Amino acid sequence: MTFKLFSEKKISGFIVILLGLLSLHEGKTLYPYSKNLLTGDHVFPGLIGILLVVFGLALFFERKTEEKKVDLPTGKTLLILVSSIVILFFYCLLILFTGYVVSTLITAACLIKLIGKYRWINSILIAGIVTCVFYLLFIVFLKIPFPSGFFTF
Amino acid sequence: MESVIYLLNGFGEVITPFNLLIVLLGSLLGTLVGVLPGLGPTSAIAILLPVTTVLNPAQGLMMMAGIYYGSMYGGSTTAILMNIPGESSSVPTTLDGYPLAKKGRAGAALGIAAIGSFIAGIIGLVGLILFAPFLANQALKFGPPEYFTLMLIALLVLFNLTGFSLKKSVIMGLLGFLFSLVGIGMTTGQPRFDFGFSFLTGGFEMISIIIGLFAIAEVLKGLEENRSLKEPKKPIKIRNIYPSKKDLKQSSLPILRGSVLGFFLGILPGISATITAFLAYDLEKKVSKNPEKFGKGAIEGVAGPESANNATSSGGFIPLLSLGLPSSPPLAVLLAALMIYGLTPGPILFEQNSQIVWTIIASMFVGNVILLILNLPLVGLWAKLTDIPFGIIAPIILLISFVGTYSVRNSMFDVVVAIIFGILGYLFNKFHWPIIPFVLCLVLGPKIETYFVQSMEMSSGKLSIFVQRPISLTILLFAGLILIVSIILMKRTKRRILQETGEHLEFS
Repeated sequence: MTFKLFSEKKISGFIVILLGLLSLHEGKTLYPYSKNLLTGDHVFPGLIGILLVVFGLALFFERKTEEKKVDLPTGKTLLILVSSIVILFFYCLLILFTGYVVSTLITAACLIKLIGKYRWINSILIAGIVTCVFYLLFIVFLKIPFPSGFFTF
Repeated sequence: MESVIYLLNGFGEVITPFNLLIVLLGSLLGTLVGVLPGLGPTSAIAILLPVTTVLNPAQGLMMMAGIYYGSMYGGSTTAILMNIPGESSSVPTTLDGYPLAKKGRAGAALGIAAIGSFIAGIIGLVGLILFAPFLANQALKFGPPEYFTLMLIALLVLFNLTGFSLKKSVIMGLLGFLFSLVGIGMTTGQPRFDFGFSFLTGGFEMISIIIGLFAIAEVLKGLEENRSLKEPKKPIKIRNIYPSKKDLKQSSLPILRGSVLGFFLGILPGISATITAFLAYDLEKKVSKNPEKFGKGAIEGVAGPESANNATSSGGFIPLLSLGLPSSPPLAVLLAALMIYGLTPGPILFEQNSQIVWTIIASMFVGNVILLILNLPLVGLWAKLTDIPFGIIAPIILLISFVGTYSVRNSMFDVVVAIIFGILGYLFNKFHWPIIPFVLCLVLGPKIETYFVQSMEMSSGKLSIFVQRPISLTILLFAGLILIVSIILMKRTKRRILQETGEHLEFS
C-alpha cells in the first residue's frame, strides 16, 4: 500500500484542519464575553471550527480514490499568470504615489503588452484610450475618489 | 388587486426618461458582458455592481435587474452562434441552437431564444407579482427559528447542486461562513478574527471577494488556456434575424411548457436553471413527433430550454424578495447588492420598502421588453463583440475589477482581497473545489448567525426550539423532501451534462 503525503486531499485536508483549529481558538477567546454556551459571538466560530476539523480529517484520511491529474501551468504560461498578478499588486502601490491616471496608463500598457503580446507602441496607444474612457466614466461621471498621488489629476 | 395598483405605481416611477435610460443601459451592459465568452450573469453582476452604487437605490437596482436579464440573454447568443455556453444552463441551447446556426438559421434560433426568454420572463414576473407578496405575508408569521431552519436547509440543498463532491461543497460553505464572521461580532461588539490588524476589524467586503472569485479568476483561467494566442472562434454569419411564422408556431407550446416547468421548479431552492433547462429539453424531445430531429437543429430544442432557463431565473426572485433566500449564485450576488443598498430582502421588504420593490419589479417588465426590441436588431453587433481579442478584454476586465472593488468602500485593502481571491478562485477551479457554496455562505452567513443567536436567546439556549415550533418543523420536513428530489434531479442533470459535453461542469 502506498501512502502519498502530498496528494491534493492530504494538503487540502491539512489546511482545512488548520483553519478549523484557528476558528476554534477564536471561539474560545470570545467565550468569556458571552452569557452561555449557545448565545454569543463565540458560537459560530466554535461550531464552524468543529465542523472544519471533522471534515478536514475526513478529507485527510479519505480512502484513496482515483484522483484526477491536475496540470498546473508551466513555462511561459506560468510566467504570464504570475506577472499579471504581480502587475495588479504593483498597481495597488503605484496608484497611491502617482494617482489614478499615470498608474492606470502604466498598468494597462503592461497588461496589454503581456497578455495581448502587442508591440509596445500599440499597447501604450490602447492603454491610453482605455485610461481616457475609464477616467471619463469613473472619475468624471461616477466621481469615484481615487488617490491623486503626486499629481493633481 | 393591491399588487396591481402597486405595480402600476412602479411603472409610473420607471417610465421617466432617466429611469428608462438606466434600464436600457443595464440591459445593454449586461448583454455586453454576457456575450463575452466565459463571463456569465454572476460575473456580469459582480463586475458591474460597483458602477451602480453611485445611483440611488431604486435606480441602482433597476440597472442591476437589467444587467441580470441582459447577461442571461448574452449567454444564449454565444451558445447559438459559437457553440460556447457561457454557463452550464446554456448547454441545452447549444445542442440545437448551434446546428440551426450552421444550417443558416441562426437568426431564427436567436429570435426564438429571445421571444422564449421574453415570454418566460413575463410569466415569471406575473408569478412574482402573485406569489411574492402572498409568501411575504405568510412569512411575517416566521420567527428567528423558522428563518434559521429555512436558510440552513436551503443551503444544504444548494450544496448538493454544485455537481461536485458533497464533502468539498460543505467545506467550501464552511469556509465562506468563516470569512463572513470576520469583523465586529453582533452580540458583544468584540472584533473577531482580526488578529490585531485594524483593517480586519471592518470585515471583508463581499463584493471584493465575489469579483475576485468570478472576474479575476476567470481572466487567470483564460490566460492559462492561452485564449489570447488562439484565434477567436468566428461566430456564424446571421442572414435573417427574425423567425418565420412556422418557427413561431412550432415553438409556441415548447415555450409555454418550458416557462411553466421552469417557473414552478424555480421557486424551490435547489432546482437551478441548469436542471430545468435540461428537463425542458428532454421533455420536448419526449413529446415531439420527430425526436430524431433533436441535436440536429430542432427549433423546439432551443425554445423549451431557453424559456425554462429564464422562467427559473424569474421564479428565483420570489424566494429572494419574499424570504431573502437566493436560489442561484447570480441571485446571491443580487442579494449582496440589495444589502449594499440598505435593503433587507424578506417579508418586511414588502412592508417597509414597497415602493422600491414594485419599481424594481416594474423595471424588470420594461427590461424584458427592451431586450426583446433591441437585441434582435443588435444581434450582429453582439456577434462582432465576440471577435474582440482576449488580449484586450482581459486587461480591461482586470482594470474594471480593480476600480469596481475600490469604489465600494474606497479601500485598497478590498482590492488586495479581490486579487488574492482571484488567485484562490483560479486554484479552486483547477482542483475542482466548488465556489458556489462559498459565495452563498459568505452572503447568508451573517443572517444565519443572527437568526440562530436570536432563537437561542428566545429558548434560553435550547436547540429543541427548532423542532418544537410547528412552522419550523414543517419547514424541516418539507426541506427533507426537496433535498431528496433535488439529489435525484442533480444526479440526472450531472449525467446529462456529461453525456452532452463530455466533462463535469460546476452548476450555476
